[in-house]
Amino acid sequence: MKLLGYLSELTIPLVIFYIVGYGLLQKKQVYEYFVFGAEEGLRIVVRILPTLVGLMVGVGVLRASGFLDYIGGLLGQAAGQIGLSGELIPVIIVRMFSSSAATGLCLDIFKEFGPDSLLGRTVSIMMGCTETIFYTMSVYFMAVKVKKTRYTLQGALIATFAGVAASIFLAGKMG
Amino acid sequence: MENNAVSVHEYLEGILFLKVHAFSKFHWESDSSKFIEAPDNTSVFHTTYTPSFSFEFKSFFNYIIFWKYYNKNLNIFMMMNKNCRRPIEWYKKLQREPMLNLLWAGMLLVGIAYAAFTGNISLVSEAALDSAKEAVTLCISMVGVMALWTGLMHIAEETGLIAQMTKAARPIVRWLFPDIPKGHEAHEHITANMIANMLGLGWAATPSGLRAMEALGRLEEERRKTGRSRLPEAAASNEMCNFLILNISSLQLIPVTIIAYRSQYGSVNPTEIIGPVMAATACSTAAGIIYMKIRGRKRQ
Repeated sequence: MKLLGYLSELTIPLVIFYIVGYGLLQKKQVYEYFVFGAEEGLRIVVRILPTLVGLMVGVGVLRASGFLDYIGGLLGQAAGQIGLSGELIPVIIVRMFSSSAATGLCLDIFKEFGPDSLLGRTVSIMMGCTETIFYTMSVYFMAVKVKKTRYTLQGALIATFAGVAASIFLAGKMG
Repeated sequence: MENNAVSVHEYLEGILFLKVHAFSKFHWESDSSKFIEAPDNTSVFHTTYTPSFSFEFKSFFNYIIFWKYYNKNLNIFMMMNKNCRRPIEWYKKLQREPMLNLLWAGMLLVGIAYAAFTGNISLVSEAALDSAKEAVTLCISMVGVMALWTGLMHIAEETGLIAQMTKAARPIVRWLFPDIPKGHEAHEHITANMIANMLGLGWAATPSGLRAMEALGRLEEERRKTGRSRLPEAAASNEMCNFLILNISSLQLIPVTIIAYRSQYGSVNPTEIIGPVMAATACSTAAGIIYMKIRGRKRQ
């Protein structure tokens, strides 16, 4: 775990140092490139905004109605036996279908339990190590007009569950 | 070709703040392949641009500004033509989630119905308004992290760092996909897609991923013709399955957006998850690779 802690601390400084240093060695105008790219980041956020408004309102309504607590309690009884929190299961399921809806649920967990809680950490790691299975498959297979997906789904599910298990385990070890 | 023009239109909207109505009804299926085949040069852009003029300017004034910018900043347009896909791919990815339609509507309807049932209805309107406001606050605080990351990535791209990483990753791809003949174009696209995914450049990953799928489709077609493949048409080849499993196993090393969200919600140490995320990603990817290697062996 200590090694992972160092990795967390060092990654971003190292990445910045390496990229900027490499650029300077190439005698390139790094700052100009940076500013050009940063503008793009701004545009990306502007484009995320409408989605985020929509989904956060959706999750906010669900939370206020008490439905999320109800589902969490319901699933919690079943999930508690294998050491899972009931709040986690909706995120895992939704994550397979839609990345932004999962983000909405994830933000709700950050708000309710805090990003540094066990649940908050688990969700953070899980969001980082899984992908939207059904969305990715539909986009890529549609592009080449493939109808029979053969063993893709099994493989994707296996990979995703390995990721989920790892994130629950690692979050438990943190802190 | 048309789509090449569309991408330029969309970019114009961002830069000039003109109300440019690009072809508002283009669909995902029709654009994925054509979009990518469109060559990156402005001479083409010139000839195809004028006939496909289908947007409305709100006023003559805007029109003048447009031409001024267009003539003056041709080099910018050239640059944009090269880069323009990235933000737009992202946008599409967010807009075109087919499952989201039902999910979102379901959330709202179930939430309101349940609230009415349990007597929490008074809380709903407050929650809706608060959440909307919160989304905006969140985005504002996210701008910084996002801009930092895309800025760095732009440096990496322009200085050739990403190209170098792609070169370095080639042997790995060769090991993962041993059945793709040497020198086949699919190698290149798969590698580019993997690197983009690792760096969290979703908008760059999707086009190269689609190109990879198309290249793999052509490869399978060839195999079918020469009788080396007994798979029926419209079935995914082994390589396609493997590529997607790899893609879905998530290769992202630094979860930039999650870090931004964490810091917004008051995490003491937002980046503390980087290490665990790398470890968890390694687990999920390893599981995917083991599975695809086992399946690949079965067939032979």
